[in-house]
Amino acid sequence: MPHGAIRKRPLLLIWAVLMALSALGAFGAWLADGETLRLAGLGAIALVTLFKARLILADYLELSRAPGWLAGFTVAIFLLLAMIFALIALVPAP
Amino acid sequence: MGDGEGACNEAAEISSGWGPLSALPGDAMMWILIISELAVFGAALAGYAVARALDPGLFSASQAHLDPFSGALNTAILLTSGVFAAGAVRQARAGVIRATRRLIGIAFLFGLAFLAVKVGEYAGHLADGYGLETNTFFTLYYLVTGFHAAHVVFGLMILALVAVFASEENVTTGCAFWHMVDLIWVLVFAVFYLS
Repeated sequence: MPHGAIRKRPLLLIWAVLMALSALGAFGAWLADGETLRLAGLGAIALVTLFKARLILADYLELSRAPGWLAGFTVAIFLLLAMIFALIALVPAP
Repeated sequence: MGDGEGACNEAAEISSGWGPLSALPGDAMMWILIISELAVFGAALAGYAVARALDPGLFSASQAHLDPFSGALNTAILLTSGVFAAGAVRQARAGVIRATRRLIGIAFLFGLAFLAVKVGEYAGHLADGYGLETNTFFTLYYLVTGFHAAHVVFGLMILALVAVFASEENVTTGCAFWHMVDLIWVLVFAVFYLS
């Protein structure tokens, strides 16, 4: 396989950012539990999940070497999360 | 002679190239598997969202029985396992086999820890009387997370295999499968535990 330009970021930094994003996601879940900031919480969970997925794709799976594929995977996951979280937001529990 | 050479070049291009897949790092067949698995889990999660929209009360009440701490702990475990697997790939590329094996071994242990937490979680639900047939939420919960756990088991077998046969290509390919398992869990966790 031909390899494109390698952009190596420190793995420990990637791991720390992933953990921090996970904590942010938990905060989003706490917000989504309430009534007033429910939509903001759901949006935060979706956004954090998208960023985590992109980091795993770019740095763990090394798709930063193939930016076109990275963009394709990111768009596909964005569309999936948008569909799922839009449904959850539009039909709240009674 | 010209025609023969052209035909040879064309045949060589056809046999050696994967087209757009050639740009992907590692084995193209693994990427075909990764894309297929993402499509399957994506469809399952979309199906979950539709089922939830049809009966939001039931799903919300059932979801309250999940333990977000266990889910968060398992997320941290898999993300940590992933960083060791990614480190193993870099070591394999540098030709440092001993470090490669050690890092794969640590990633493997974190994978076992993930399964231990998951089994504990399932045992708790079953003890509380929430089984596969309790309702639609729990059916989907057990199917999706169980299917994912099966991938973790399979991923552990692959990690063990590439730790033994630790060539750069094997380690890159095996760890790509492991990162896919990680990626899918991030999506499953957000939809089932956080939303």
